[in-house]
Amino acid sequence: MFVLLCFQSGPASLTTEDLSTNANGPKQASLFDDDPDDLFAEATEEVSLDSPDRDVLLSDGPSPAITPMTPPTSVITPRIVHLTKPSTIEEEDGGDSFDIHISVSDPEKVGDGMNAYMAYKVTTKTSMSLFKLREFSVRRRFSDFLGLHSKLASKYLHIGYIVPPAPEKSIVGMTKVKVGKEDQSSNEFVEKRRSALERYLMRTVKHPILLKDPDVLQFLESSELPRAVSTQALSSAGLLRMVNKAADAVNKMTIKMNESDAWFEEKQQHFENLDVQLRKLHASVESLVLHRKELSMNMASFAKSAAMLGNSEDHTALSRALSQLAEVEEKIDQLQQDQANADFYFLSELLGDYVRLITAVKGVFDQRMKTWQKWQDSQMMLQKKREAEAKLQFNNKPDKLQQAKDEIKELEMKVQQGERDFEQISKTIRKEVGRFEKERVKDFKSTVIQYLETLLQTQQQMIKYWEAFLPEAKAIS
Amino acid sequence: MLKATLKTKRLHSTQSVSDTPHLPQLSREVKFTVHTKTTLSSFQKPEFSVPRQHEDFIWLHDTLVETEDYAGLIIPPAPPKPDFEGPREKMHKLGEGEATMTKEEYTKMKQELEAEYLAVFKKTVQVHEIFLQRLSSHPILNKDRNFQIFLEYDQDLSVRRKNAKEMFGGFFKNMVKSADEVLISGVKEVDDFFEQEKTFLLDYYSKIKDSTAKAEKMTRSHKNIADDYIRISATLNSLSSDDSTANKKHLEKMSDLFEKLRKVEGRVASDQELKLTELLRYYMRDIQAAKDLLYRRARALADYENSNKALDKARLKSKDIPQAEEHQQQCLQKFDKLSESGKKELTSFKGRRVVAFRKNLIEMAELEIKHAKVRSSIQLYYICFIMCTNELQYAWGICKILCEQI
Repeated sequence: MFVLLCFQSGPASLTTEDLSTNANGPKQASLFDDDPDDLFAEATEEVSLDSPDRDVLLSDGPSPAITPMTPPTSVITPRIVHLTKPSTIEEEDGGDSFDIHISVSDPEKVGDGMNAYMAYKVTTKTSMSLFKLREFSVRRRFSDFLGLHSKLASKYLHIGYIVPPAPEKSIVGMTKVKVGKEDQSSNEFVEKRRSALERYLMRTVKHPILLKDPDVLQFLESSELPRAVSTQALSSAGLLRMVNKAADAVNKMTIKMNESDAWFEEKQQHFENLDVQLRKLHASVESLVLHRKELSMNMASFAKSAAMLGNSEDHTALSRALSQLAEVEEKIDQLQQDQANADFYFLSELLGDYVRLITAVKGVFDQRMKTWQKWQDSQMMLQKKREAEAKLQFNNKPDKLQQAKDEIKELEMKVQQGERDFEQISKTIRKEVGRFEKERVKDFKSTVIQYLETLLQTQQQMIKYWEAFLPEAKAIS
Repeated sequence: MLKATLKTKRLHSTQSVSDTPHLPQLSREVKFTVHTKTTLSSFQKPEFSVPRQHEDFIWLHDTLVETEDYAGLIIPPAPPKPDFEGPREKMHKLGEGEATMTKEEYTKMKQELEAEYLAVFKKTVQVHEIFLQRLSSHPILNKDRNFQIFLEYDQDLSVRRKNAKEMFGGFFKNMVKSADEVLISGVKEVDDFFEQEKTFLLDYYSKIKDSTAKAEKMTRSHKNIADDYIRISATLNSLSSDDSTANKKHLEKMSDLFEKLRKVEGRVASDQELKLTELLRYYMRDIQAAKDLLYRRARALADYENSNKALDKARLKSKDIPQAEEHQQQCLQKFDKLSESGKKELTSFKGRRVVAFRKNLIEMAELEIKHAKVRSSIQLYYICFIMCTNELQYAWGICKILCEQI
């Protein structure tokens, strides 16, 4: 079956032999051969494209009834066409299909000195009827984003929705920008932040409930936005937030919830593990970015040194070859630099986002616990009141009795509400976690593909550079 | 015809608890076997092998340097001591981190360690072998009596090696020499060829020393990246084993990808080291040997000029003229001999250098291309895998790759 498909497409014909014994293709095999003197042959395994998985896949493959694929019209381009397009999520309730794309761009410094801030252009392109126009943009500053998040969190977190966290504040980073340093690091900081804000907005609007929220719509559409003062770190609201956070942490430790639902227990464990692993992965990727940047720097300095050596060299052809070597190394160092950026923006930032997202998910589970606690508390209160009522009846105090009965009725309603709330939040969380996991898979897949594409492009370029250098080296007489 | 080749044995662990390879603590522990094939009648047998240690090579080099007759030759630089510091450091780190790593991570780091250990061996053998090959191909040096002894004497050479006193002598000699290097720059050169050579070598030496250091840094960065890939691969593996969604396969494959990439990265690092860094390092030492020749010649010139002055003084005083004349003649002869052989040596040195650079640069470029191609293939394969949502598309993707390769 495998062979059949191939015959339709390839410029060359492949025999079964070629495919089964040397599935990597004849050229590939030679790349993996070790020379007999190779001491490495003992220590390392062969790098091989063969994997047991693949054979299984191929043998279990399509039934013979499948119609052959149409052959490609052009030779395979080394560059894979980009697969990134705005994802389409089917709305569960029907209505508009999800089609919205937000970009954050054109960072501009507004004002001077310590009161200066960066303003970003937020552009929305959409065909959804939710919006008045198909394309529109507004200017927003960082605290506006924080303000949006804080509003959404206060509205939706306690009922179990996973509200995407906003990018973190950075006092150091912003101060540099404010002070007006136009250097590499502050440019990088602004770019990092711009990219993070874009991801934040996209994640927020991908959530079907949050998308419809009036605060979100206002944020995207209205040209003037009241300044979110409460997002400042040192404001009273900020302090209150910090106190609440501490209180929550203490509470979490004291709540002992009887988990009746295995699903929740399993999921909580799952997210705990995920948290640990993602943090570890994030740290490793950050280390990779650092080392690749170091490699780029070392290559650049070697290139300079090689150029000087080439100048010193009195044999003309060798001198030229050394200068060429210096050029190649310099070009490759630039490649490595770009690759490091790709490592960073694709992998590292994505992982950072997900570490924060997982924290938000864990927060939602905590909210459920709080809801349960509230329910339990009102149940206990009810119990106490009932006991008190019974006592009153026994002691025969009619006027107090009526009051007690009223209170009991109130508490009964509260208990019922508590139970409904708990059930509702549990249901919401189940849905949310399902959606989150689906999003996560999609997100990772598309990012990984983008990242691999950058790796591939880097390699293709490297091949070109070294192939251009080879004749120069051979020309040394 | 004289051909000497070198073999060495990998040392295996004396059963230590952690079953890690025993790294040589002292260069004494590295045992070489020198195998010689010859048609020369000066040797007893046409083919024979002897065991040697690093110190024996040093002894041979030093005796050649001290031989007055060879003052006009570039003595091939002595091979550097086998340096297992890198692998030793890694082994230490491995031991410390054993508790925190997963089993796979530990195994992979151990593999890396073994690969690095082997790379050091390869380097060591190469550099010792080149030393012997230089000697055996030099028309004058390959007749040296001590060289013959080195190749043939089947007992331990340590009795003939330097004792502590002699070593001190060598140390002082080096100290005096560097002071004298200032002298060289001061001596007025009579011959254009040597003047040019001196300028060229002094300049080239500092440049090549710098390039060697920078190349070493590059290699280290590559190794660091390879280590990062190991950790990333291991974490992805843990993530995939915990995962029950559609991500699981992707994570597994990503983990595989990084594992394969790190192998390639490791090989890039060692290939670069062997072809580029070692090349630069070797020629740095060779240029030093050439500079030593210039120094010896400059000394001879200074001696000659001094003998001239002594002769003039003797003629003035009308005392000891014949001795002075004879001394002056000897100095002149020595100087002329050095100049003549020096010129030959330096010319062939240039040719040798150009040939070596050419060979290594070509090989390095070819290896880089090979590695980049391997990396692309690997990446293409994984992209295909991840992109494809069903096996049919996946098989199709593989076809495309294969067709492209052919």
